[in-house]
Amino acid sequence: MSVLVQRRLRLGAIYIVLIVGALIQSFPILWTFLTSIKPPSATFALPPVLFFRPTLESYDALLFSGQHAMAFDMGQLARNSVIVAVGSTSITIAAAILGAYAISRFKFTGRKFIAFLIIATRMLPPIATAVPIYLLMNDLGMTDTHFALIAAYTAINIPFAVWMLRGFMDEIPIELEDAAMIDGCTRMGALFRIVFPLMAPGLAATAVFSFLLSWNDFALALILTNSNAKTLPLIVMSFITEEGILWGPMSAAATLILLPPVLFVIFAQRHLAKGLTMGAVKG
Amino acid sequence: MAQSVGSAAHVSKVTLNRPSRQRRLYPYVLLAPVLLIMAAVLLYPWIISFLLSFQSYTPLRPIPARFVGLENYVRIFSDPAFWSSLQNTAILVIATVTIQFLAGFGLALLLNSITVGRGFLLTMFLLPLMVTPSVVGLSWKMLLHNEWGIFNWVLTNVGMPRVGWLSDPNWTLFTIILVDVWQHMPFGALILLAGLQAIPEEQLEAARVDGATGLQTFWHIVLPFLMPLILITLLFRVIFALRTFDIIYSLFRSGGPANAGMVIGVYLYEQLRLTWRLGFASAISYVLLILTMALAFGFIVRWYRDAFED
Repeated sequence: MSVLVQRRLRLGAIYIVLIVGALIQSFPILWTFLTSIKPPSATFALPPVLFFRPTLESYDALLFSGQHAMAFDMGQLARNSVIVAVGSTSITIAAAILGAYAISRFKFTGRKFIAFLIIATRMLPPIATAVPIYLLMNDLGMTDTHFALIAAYTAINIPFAVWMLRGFMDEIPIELEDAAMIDGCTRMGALFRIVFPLMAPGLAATAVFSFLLSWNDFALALILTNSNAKTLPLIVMSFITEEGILWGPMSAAATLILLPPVLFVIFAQRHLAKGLTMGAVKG
Repeated sequence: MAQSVGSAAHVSKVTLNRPSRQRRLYPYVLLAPVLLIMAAVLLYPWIISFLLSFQSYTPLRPIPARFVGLENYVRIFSDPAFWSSLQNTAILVIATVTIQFLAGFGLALLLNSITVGRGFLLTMFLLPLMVTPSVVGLSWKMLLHNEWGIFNWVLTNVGMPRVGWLSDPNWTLFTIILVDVWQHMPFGALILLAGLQAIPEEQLEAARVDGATGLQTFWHIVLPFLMPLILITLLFRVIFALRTFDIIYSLFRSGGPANAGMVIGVYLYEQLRLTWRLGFASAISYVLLILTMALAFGFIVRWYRDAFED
């Protein structure tokens, strides 16, 4: 066998392994989606029905017609999730960008210590952090409010946001700001007119990450809320009874909740490595 | 003296003609919102909870908190349920991190050896990584359902007995490991693939010219180059495996059958939910935090040094 043929065969084998692997890896998500668009008669038919007329009946049952049978109000959960995620992301980014600017552009006493503090907070496990934050919110009489969750997610997201933004900022040449300031721009003016526009993609990636950390959290929401401020991930607690019967709406709910993270992975893949390691990896 | 980081020209032209006191305070003012939020919502509560971990306090009872010394910690360490949850955590961490690392590394190597369709395949592999863990539990519950799940359907069709993925205590940890590996394996793959692509082509070329075999190249060039990223991958995976909670709780809504899936995070929540003894729960929080720090501290210090080499 010639070297070329051998190489071709090897490459073919690699592709087969990768394609089979990719199918297995994405199967549970595809399956959940497929189940959600099956007609009710086919949701848990075995052998699985692979060819069917897609229908939105399960979504209708989840959001409208079946509402009375559900132990929760999907609309309210979604509203809470969006309010909390958008609220905490906005505050996180606003505060973190100033902090990142300080760490990236100034040398000052305590800089290393603050940076260390910011990295070290990443070690706090959410489920363990939930207890102290619950104590705080209980004292303030703020449990089960949007405020409690926004405060908690902001505090948890800020360390990584500062670190990630600092990485993006370090890549922007300082000479650009110098030039602007020589031309009479104030420091804040330079930050807003020069640095922000240049790091827009990094800013967007950090914001989306912060949004998803809030969106995905289960532990803090479980402990800090009990009815008014409940968020979407807690929905898993509501399918306690009759799980077999509710597979349609259940998979519809799962699909809706998984949509933002899945879209993010598809469209912002190149920022993923950076975000997941707070910029420790130049992805 | 406080000064801006940057070229000498920068310092002389811009910074020096500003009042020095204002310049010195500037970074602290910029950092104030970040530090205030972290102090109010993380530091202060953790201090309160530290104090509370030496007290007996149940908000549901009208008795005020009272100091009990190390009683809460003694109670944790004399609770067989804690030790079995610690053992389950250890098994979970070791199994998931090992499998995820090896599979992720293998995947990274495979993806690195192709060009056509790499982006698309990578996306397919990465899908589970960012999705809501509690909802992941829900999806897997459907797949692993005893009667109606596709896993058991396939097993019975190839002549094997059904597996009680969600009901048999002997399978509980295996089920959790399966779901966790599925979700987090792409993490290592993504990071190590980024590393593989950053290896300078000249180094690989030089090795080839010198007649190095594939294995030698891997051992002497690829592996040393990737070492910092390998450490980061392991660090993050260990930290996150230690705090596993969402997936287990959404799969089993407790520690699983016969508490076979009870890890420390679940133990903490169950104690909190069932008793609302906040002093005791605070003590468990600290045990989990100290465990995390003990395992991660070396990594963190090293990483911190690397980050400030400049």
